[in-house]
Amino acid sequence: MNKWIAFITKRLFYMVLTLFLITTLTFFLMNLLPGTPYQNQAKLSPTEIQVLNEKYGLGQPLGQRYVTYMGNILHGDFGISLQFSDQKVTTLIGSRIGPSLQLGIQAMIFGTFVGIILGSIAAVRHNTWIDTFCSTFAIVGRSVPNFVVAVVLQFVFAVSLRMLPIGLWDGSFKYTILPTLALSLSPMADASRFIRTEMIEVLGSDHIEFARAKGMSELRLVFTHGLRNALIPLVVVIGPMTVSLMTGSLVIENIFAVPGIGEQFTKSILTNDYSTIMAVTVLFSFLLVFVLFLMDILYQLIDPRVRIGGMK
Amino acid sequence: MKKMKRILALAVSSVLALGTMSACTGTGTTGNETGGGSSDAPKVLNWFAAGEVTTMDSGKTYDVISQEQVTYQNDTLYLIDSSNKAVPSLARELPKISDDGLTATLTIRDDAKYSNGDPITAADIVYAARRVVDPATGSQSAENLNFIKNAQDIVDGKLAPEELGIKATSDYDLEITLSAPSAFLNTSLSTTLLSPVNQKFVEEKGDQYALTADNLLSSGPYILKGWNGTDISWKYEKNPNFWDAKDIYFDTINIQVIKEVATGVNLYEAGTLDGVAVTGDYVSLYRDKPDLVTVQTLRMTNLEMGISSNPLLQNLNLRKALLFAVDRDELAKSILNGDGSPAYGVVPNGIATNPDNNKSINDDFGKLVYTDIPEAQRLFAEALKELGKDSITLRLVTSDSDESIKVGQYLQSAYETNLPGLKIDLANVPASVRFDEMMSFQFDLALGGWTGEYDPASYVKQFEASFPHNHAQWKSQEITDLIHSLENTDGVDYPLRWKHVKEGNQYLIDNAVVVPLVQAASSALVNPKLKGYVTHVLNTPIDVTRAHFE
Repeated sequence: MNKWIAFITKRLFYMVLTLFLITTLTFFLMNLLPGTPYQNQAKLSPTEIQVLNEKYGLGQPLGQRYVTYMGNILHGDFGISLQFSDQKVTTLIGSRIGPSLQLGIQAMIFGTFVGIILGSIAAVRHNTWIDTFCSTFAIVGRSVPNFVVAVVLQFVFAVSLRMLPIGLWDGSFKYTILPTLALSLSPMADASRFIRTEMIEVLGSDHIEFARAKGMSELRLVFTHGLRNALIPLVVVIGPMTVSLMTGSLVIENIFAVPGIGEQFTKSILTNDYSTIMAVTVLFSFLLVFVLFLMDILYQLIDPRVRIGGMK
Repeated sequence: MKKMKRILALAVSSVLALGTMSACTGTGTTGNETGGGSSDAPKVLNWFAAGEVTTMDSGKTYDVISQEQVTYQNDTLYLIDSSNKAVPSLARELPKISDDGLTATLTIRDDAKYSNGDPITAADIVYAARRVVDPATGSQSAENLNFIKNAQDIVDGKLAPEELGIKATSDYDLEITLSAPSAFLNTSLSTTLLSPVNQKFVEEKGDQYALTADNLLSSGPYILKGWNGTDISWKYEKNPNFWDAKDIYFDTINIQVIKEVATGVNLYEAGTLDGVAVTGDYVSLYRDKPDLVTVQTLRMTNLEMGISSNPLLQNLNLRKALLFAVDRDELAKSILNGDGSPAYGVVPNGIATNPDNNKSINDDFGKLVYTDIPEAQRLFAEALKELGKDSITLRLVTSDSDESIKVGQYLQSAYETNLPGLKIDLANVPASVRFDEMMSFQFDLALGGWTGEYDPASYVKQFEASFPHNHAQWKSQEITDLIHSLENTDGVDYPLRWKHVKEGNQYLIDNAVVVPLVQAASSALVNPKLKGYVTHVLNTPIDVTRAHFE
């Protein structure tokens, strides 16, 4: 038990340290970006830019701004967005993260689920046409950019067959189907490749041969012994993949007119919207670090080989 | 790998093309479902915006998208009609100008109200104006009120906002003191920056003012609903308190932000939208259909030269060679797909006409820039000789948008082909980086542009010695004198102003201070049943506030 507490405390400490370093580094790097955060800078005179800098506290020395900023975020104040004149950054993120989270999670669940099935079938039918088909599917899924898939899906299911909406977002499920499918292709391909490789290895191992010799049914063999062992390495990649899916995709959001967060991050960098860059970076890093922390714990639980205190 | 990419590109473009073609030949449900109907049914228009709104505060808008949204909810003293003339809206008639041209007086309607029922008075316009120039507001458009006395000094923090040259002499009478006699006062007064703002409401809302639909008051035809600051869809409902409500046809206008043109076209063809902005290939695809509406704008796309930063560019023959070696027709037609027309000079066509004979800019100023490859080659050879060089390399910086990249590549190929010995290094960078290079006057060539005001002089002014955006840092007494006359002594003598603008245009081309390329246009697909919209060369390209379905 004590070992667990020590383990978690250590991990939490590293988490905070990582976040601190990311925030600090981003803050200073971001200020190296050329230009101003004022979108009308093409028409502003240097004096006007100075006046605006003073209003938005950008006139102070960088070090002082850093100290103020860190103090503010500790109080939950992430500042105001300059891209969306005077809107709080927290409002911006709050209004945009929902659809991205929903699509990301749906895509992750659906993609991984289908990927596991495809990977398992491929492994069981190793070196047959089914395996070739599943592997080809995985390669295509990994290499074709998701915006191409999105355009094709939109054309087939919305424009031609008129089964689903072309785009837009009103919160109902049918509007999420096509973007989810487009986003799910990459986790599907990854999961299927991982499962296939691991499963082939596991199914060829001695303990499986032994179970088979004892007369265990093939189905049970695959699902209780094979899949369980094959899932372990998948857990490692699923975490970061989920975070990258949840944080939105610029192209998918634009193609399906989804009010997600994906574009805001890119746009904030292009427009020097300092507060948004910082807030979104902090949010993304927090999610990533937190998920990695969860994965570490989960890994301890599912893989006896790395368990704290050794195997029991 | 390259082959794979090509195959992929081919596959994607075929799918896109197929999608569009099937959409175009369609099954007959072309975007008319919301049109017509019985007279009792609510009249709804499903319109578009090209991006999110940066601000709904009428005192702060600076971009075309927000500018358009603000016009739905804010009445202005004057409206601009499709011939760029101001017509009274909140003001009863055009302003009366004093003999010295420095004071304008006008009366506003006494029956105008905000959406909450509060009366609109002249004091609300004074408050709005002071708010814009007050540095505490942080408006990025404050310079647009520079025509009012003391505006610049207030923006620069030297004077208090109360010193602004605008006052209410009664509940409905305004007196505006101008910085200089202005020939374009009426259009300057049409800005939404001078839309009435209810001081009591603004102070009550504090820092929440204009951040959401609930924190706004409407003085215009529509009331904003369902906007929470960062949305990609919202709507307008007819404002029953608007003085001209009887002329407003639509009960509701739904706005959807469309960033992906292909998606927008699909939604338009499915009847979900009554209009959508189109660019590039879609403009050509819809070329002969009644849906396509193309509006010429006053945006000039120019190849700017860092004359102060690169000594080579101080050679007139080299600059002239650059001026004559580009085929602007090809650029406009093939590269921009008709999203623009060839530039003839520095001042855009359509901004004004000759006050004496009503001739257009292009007809009256003449085609000063054109393609003449042999002449360009002769000038280039001359330049090489004068500079004592065999070849010249220039760096061309463009933004990294699709269109800028395409134009940059076209210029690179045109110059390198037409002027052997000239090498163009292309740099596609984020817009802010390009701005930075141009504003620090450290660049060779840059793909830039300029959108001025309704006053043609604003296009000559960009090359005036002390102007902050004189990227070339061209300093000439001729332009300084012309701008001085235009701003201080020409006043409302329109023929004289015209003569001076014409001289400025001629001077800038004679000295090849800039290489004008194209005058931009913006295109949209619009439900052919929609009538009564007004097209504008500046700000909102297609204004649907007073439009109706046939």
